[in-house]
Amino acid sequence: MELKRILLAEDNPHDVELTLAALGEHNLANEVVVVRDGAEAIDYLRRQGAHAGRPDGLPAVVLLDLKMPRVDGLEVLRHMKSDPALKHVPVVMLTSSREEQDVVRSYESGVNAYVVKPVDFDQFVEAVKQLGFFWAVLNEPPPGSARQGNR
Amino acid sequence: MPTNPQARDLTATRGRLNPRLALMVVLALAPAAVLGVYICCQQHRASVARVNADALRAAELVAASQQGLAEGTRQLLATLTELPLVQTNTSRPFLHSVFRNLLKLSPACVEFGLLQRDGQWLASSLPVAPEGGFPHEPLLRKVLASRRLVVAGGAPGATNQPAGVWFGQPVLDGAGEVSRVLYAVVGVEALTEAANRTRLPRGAELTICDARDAVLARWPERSHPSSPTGNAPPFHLARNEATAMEGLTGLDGGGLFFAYAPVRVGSSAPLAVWVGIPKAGAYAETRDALVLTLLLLGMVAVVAWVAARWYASVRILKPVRQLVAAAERLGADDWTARTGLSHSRGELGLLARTFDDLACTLQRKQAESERAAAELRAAEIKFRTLVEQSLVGIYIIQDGNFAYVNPRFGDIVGRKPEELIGKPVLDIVAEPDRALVEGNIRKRLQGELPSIRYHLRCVRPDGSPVPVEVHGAAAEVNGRRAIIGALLDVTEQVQAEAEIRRLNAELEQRVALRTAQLEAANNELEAFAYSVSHDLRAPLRHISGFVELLAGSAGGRLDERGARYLKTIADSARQMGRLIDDLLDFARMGRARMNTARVDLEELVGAARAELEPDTRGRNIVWKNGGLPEVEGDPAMLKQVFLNLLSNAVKYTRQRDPAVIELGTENANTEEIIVFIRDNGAGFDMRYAHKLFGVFQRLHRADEFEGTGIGLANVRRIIARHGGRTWATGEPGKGATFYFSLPNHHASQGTHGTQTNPPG
Repeated sequence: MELKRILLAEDNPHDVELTLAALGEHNLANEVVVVRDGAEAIDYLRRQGAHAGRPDGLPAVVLLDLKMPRVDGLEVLRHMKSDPALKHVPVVMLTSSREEQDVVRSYESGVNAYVVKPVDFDQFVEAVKQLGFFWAVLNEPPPGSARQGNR
Repeated sequence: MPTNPQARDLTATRGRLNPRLALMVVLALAPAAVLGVYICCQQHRASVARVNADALRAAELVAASQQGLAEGTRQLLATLTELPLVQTNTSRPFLHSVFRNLLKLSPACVEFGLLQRDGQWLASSLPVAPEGGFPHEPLLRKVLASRRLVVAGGAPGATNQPAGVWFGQPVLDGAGEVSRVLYAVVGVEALTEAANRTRLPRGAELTICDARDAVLARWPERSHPSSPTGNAPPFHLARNEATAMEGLTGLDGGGLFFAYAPVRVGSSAPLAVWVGIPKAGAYAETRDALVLTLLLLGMVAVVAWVAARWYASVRILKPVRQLVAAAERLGADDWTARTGLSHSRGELGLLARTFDDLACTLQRKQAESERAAAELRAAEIKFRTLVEQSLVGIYIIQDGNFAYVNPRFGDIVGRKPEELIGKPVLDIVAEPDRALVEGNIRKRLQGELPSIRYHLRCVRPDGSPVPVEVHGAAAEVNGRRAIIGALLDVTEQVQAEAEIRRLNAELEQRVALRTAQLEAANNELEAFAYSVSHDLRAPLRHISGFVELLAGSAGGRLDERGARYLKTIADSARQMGRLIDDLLDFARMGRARMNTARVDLEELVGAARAELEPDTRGRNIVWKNGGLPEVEGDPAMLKQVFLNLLSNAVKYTRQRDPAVIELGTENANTEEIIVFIRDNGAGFDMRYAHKLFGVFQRLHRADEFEGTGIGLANVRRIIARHGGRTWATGEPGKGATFYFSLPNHHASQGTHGTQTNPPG
């Protein structure tokens, strides 16, 4: 199974750990790049700043937390969708907010999926598994995405 | 009674009545007069006949007496001729004496004589022979010619001869030849005497003529009988028979009735008697009778006229005067006037009765009309007061001008009512509103709008505008189209409305302010909810997640108590997560915008049941569906309602086999649709029914039936936002029925009446 790179933008280290645990539990990600806020996510995607020297290729999917310091998830999403180089990269909002306005705004900005993080860990694991399986495994990414060798 | 036209008329009537009465009397007596005249004419005719008869008889009597005289003379002469002395004697003295003696014997004769055949005079009673011979040559010739007695009148042309009638008698010799002629003269006196012996009618004329119409004697002696001059009657007209005739003129020139009678001597009639009776005498009787008749008639006429006048005065004019007087009193508005006449007498009585009846009717009508007039006056005063004292301006418009305005109207527009009446309506209307007023008047007059109410501005004489409200209607006043209406001064109202508008504006400003404040508060609340949603759930998730990770990594090293603690931590975190989620749902339901659409409740039930499928799997549930209608509402919210109610029903019937869940509508009317969901589950105690729909209110312990107590609160909130109601009935152990109502926007109702049993 070909695994792809996943970019996870999440400021909360617990959530990062839980998400990675969930992804790792099912061996869905051989490479998960974690950035801690929106600005860093944009730097990574544009290979600039601290991430200027990262390996080329775009992630198969970007998992965005909505609420992050400095630049929040929605801003990252709008950046990406307004950037011709990035607008084909699938973006999934992975957030604890079930607010309708957040959902509406995200979809208006061109998000590809919106997933509410369940409180229950089993459900959380299940959700992340489904997510990772669909986007990182089944979905055919646009050309230019980073590809990793089989494991 | 004062002299007035009627009285004068009555006098004139009387003046005209008298000639009429006179005419009537004349007409009444005319037949009598005609009859009288006719009788007089008859009498006249009779008296004429009688006079004629009298004349004829007198003539005949006179003729008879003359005839006797003549006959005596003839016989005497006839006898004398037989005597020889007459036949042969020639002695004149002897003969003279004989003749003298004869005169004494025959007093009627005045002369006797004897002639020779050749006319030579022999002797006579006269002492001497008349000079020139025998004077009566014609007599002699006739005697010689006829050889018979000849009678003739006086000798023509002989004036010395005695007047009388001459008798000539032939004296025949033995051979039968005429030898001598004996003659005698009967004197006029004798004739007259004989006539006098006959009684003649008074005034009668008597004429004795010979055969040649020569007058021999006449009585009375007005002229000499021998005079042939004068108006002698046409004796030749009647000769042979006694005849009466009239129309002749007498000797005195007067009209006469004549009767003729011949005096016969032998076979001839040598004399004739005429008797004339003056017409005057014959007519006098008739005339007297006529005069008497006419006089009597005249007297009768006078008496009748006087009687008629008296009668007319008493029986006609007096009642008529009374009638006229009563009529005059009636005319002078004295309604009690009556004639005072008896009603039973004749035509005037009938007239009087009719008049009195009429007066009675008039009096009654007058009383009625006075009463009606009084009522009308009272009503007039009432309505006038009502209109004049009205606090509303009242007007009547005709032909674009004011026909009437009341004082209040004048007050409103600052003018006196009398200044306005007859003036154009538009004079008091402010310039900008004139077209409006004109249009509205036209609309009402043309019947486009029967009545109208609108506002306009009037203008006072000082130019200040007055806002008024007009209530006008088309009507008919005194037979002409008019607009009647009321005018209200709405100055205060307009000011009040301005005040209200100002206050409204203020209020709106305040509301806007409050709304802004509320929005701010709401935003804060939303921020809070957002924070709860996002920030509170994260730690819980971490607790839950890391407990799971801990359990995974160190599960084997924990004793039983440690494992139970970990599980309690995980359960609590999960429960708190559910509470937070439900609370957020509840808050969101209150704020979310409603997207109203036509919703088929049957479809929503189907979707809700599909979502509940994991919970119902393996259960024996009998679903009964009485059919649900289409409603107006928010599909997502209403689906949540069914989801909550059905999941409750499923949850609380967990111990039933089979569980029966029934859906349907109840008591559907035009105003609201009532939907119920009934189950045969755990039910509840009605004492706590009021708590059912409260937030976080639970009637069962958590270890009996899990739940947060937010579902029914959400149902109530959603239904309330749809304008409906929620309630429930139940009994512990017997089940519960939950009801909600929705306003019935459309009366239409879907018919999905089905009863389904799910598989298993």
